[in-house]
Amino acid sequence: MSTDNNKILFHFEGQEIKSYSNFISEIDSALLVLKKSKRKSIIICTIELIQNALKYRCCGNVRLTISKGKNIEVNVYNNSDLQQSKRLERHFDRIEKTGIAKLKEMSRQNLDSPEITGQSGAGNGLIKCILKSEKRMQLLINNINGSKNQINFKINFEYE
Amino acid sequence: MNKIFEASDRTPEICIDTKNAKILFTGVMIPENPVEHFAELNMELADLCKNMSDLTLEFDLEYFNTGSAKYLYELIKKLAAQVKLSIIWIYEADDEDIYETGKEYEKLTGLPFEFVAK
Repeated sequence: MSTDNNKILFHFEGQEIKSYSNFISEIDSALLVLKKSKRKSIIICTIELIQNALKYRCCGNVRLTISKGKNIEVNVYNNSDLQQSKRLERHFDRIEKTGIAKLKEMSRQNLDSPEITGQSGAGNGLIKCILKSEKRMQLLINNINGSKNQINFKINFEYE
Repeated sequence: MNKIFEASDRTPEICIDTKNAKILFTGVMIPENPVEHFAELNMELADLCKNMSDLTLEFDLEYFNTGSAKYLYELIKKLAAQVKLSIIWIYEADDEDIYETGKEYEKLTGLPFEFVAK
């Protein structure tokens, strides 16, 4: 199955991950052309994004595609209420504009902070993804209707 | 006497070896809510530390999410405040992510880490 010039390597759609061991092993197998450290980075980012999407979705399924074109592209989609998507947009804008050295420092500070965000979060999931992808990450928000948006995180990883 | 928390799809096997004053974490650590998942472990460790002066934590983890990274960091800090703590950090030789995370913990905690490549 292909989208534009991209070949879909892995696809998930649902409201829970029944087996993470299968999930990880299938993604790893789909990415065997890449060296191990790159596969791990992609899997780590995918887990972070999919867990966030499952946690914060308002309704409907979460979708994940991993495709191969010029780069490896990971897309995660979920529906979100307007308030949550605005919060996410502000958070992402702030960290997306931050340089890598400062992001690493923020990540350390979050780790060391006594605060626990959301549901046991450190606030580092998106920072991790931005760092792992060397800042090739986008947030796309599309309005579905008056009360819901579709959130799409898109990350590109260079072939190695 | 050993107490073992069995591994699950998203949590590691955790073996508390009281005879050798060691706790081993093996597997993946990706629960959505680590604080809730490891509440029982926290209670066991609180009891354990009452009777110990030295403790070794051994980590052989393949994946852990950022929520677990924070939980582990908090655990290390808390135990280090109660006992003389040392850490064995096992990683696959080509796994930069796990190695670098260990190095980060070493730097932040100031504790002695032994890095073991497998």
